[in-house]
Amino acid sequence: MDLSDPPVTALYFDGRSSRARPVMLSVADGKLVTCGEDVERRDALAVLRLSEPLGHAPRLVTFPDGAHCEVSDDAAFRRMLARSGQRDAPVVRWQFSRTAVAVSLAVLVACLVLAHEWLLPRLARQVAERVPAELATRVSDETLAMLDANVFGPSQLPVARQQALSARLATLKQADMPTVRPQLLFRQGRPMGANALALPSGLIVVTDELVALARNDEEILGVLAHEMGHVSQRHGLRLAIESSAVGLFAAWYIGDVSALLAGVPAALSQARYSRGFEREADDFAARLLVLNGIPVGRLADILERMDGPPEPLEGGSRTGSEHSRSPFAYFATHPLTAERIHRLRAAP
Amino acid sequence: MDKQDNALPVVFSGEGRDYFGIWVVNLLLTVLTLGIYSAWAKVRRMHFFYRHTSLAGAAFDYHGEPLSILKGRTLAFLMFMAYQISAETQPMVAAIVLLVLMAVMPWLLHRSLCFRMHNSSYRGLRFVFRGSVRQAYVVFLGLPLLILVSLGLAFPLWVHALKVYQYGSSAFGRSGFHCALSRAEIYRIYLVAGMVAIGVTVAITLLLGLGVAETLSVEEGAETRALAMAGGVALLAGFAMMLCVAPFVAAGVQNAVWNGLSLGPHRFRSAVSGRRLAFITLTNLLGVILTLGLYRPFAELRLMKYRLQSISMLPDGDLDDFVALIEADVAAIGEESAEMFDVDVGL
Repeated sequence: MDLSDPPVTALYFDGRSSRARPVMLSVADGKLVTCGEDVERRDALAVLRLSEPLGHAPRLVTFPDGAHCEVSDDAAFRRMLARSGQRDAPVVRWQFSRTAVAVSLAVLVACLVLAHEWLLPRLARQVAERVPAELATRVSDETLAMLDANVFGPSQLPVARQQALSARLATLKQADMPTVRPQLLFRQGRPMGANALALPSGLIVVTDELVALARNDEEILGVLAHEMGHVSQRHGLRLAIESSAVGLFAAWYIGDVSALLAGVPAALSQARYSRGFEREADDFAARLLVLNGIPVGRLADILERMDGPPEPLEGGSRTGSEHSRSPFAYFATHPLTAERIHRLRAAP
Repeated sequence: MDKQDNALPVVFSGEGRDYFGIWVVNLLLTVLTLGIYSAWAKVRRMHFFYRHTSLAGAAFDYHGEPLSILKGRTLAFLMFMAYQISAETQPMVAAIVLLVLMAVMPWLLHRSLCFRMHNSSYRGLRFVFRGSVRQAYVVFLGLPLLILVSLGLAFPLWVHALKVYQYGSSAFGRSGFHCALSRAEIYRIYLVAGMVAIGVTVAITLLLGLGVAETLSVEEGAETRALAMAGGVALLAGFAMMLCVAPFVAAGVQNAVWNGLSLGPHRFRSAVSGRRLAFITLTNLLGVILTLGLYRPFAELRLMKYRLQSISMLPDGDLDDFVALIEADVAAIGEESAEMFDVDVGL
């Protein structure tokens, strides 16, 4: 039966010199027969190293003594081997099967989605919790200095009013451990308008415009409670960690040194994450307000009138583009405020 | 003229279609085994590139064993973890670990070069790396420190020493390669690159400065404008470096190295065009983005194919003489001990 196969031509190298000798290969009784000028050998298939098929590359047969054959006609060689019962390793068969490659690709994408949706948020939370307080403070101070220089103006609010609000905030009862010790700062919002920001160290910046917009102090406390939620859950750091991880991955994958393009996936995932963070902060605020006898609806009331909902300010080292740091980018990434208002109103 | 006629071009016959399957399956198994399969993946990848590369009708072969690669990767991982863990708990210990790493790294890189050459073969003859460990310390420890001290001015010097060490210390069978690379040539390449980089950055700053001044309204602060501009300049300059500088440096260095390389009486020629390399970089980048990443293996293959096929061998005499000479070269294969392992570095 085996003899019905035509022999396959190959080049034989004895491993001691690089001289090529043309030979004919055939299989008989589980042995590879190599025949040519000056060459005549029979080797059991089991002791040979058969290189894996690789598209258009020649197949290599290596003998135990270091000699080898180069076979250009892979198709004929494969037919010959198949008839003698040789089978490629599963991985090799997958590599060249369209179905297997498509399935692998689908599983790969699923892994990527899982890593992004499940693994990354958990890892970021772990890392954020281990960030030392000094680092959080330094990052926050730097961010504040940057904002003071570029965005905010000094607050025009009377000192007595500032102190009254700070005092009111300090008396809020907190159920969650560890408690957040927020420090209130007042600034003129300018392009940010009526807004509030939480920095990782616990600094909360309130704009004059927000104080003016509020119909009563309970609305302001609602916003502050929301910001405390961001601080308590370390949202600023988590966001920074998550978006820099995505940015780094994209930069590595695309091979783009400028980080210009890598910033896009980072910004996209940031928008998606911040929606979850807003929800967490709202839940925190709702619990805090209920505990202090303030109607949760107050937060919803002021949200309806704000330019944009309060936003955690990212801090920490990140590689994303400078654009996403600009306050204007925030408004583009805001989660649906209407949905949040609805949730708050529905809260007990 | 005569040499032009019998030039033996390097031929690369790999196709993206085949490589894509290998790439996907490699990646999946690497992810599912939490990285362990990466050693096997590397062997498959190397096989693909080596065996599709041929010169004078015969292909190259790769002999690296996955387990040796895994050993090297495990070692690198453990060293990295040792540093990470000590850095978090004991900064003093971390400093010591770092010093130890710096001290052993040249030795590891030397082993890695030996591994790579030893596991490459052509026509059944192995390549050998004959560089000394002492020289490895000069190249991988001494000169990098000099770069720091000289504020980067010694960088081309390091590139020169690295290439001479890497190529000039290699041998095929018993014939050694000689790398006649001039320092002046490498300095020239980096000098031109540096000037282009400065020119491009200045041009971008000026253009963007005009644009920003016109588009941004007056009400926003001057600081905001300056900040936005600095960011814009950095991004565009980075992008410009990727297209206007990096490809030309890569082309210049490859050409300089290969045009100065000889194996016995045989010489090599490399004719990579920086412009073509820049075009490939740009189109590869677009391809990867437009296909959401799927084009990446094709991009890798395309770049490799171009760089390989730009090289040809100029045999002294004709093809038969070349073959006869290397055929006469009996390999002195005293199999090296199994102590070798691969440490991955982008050399």
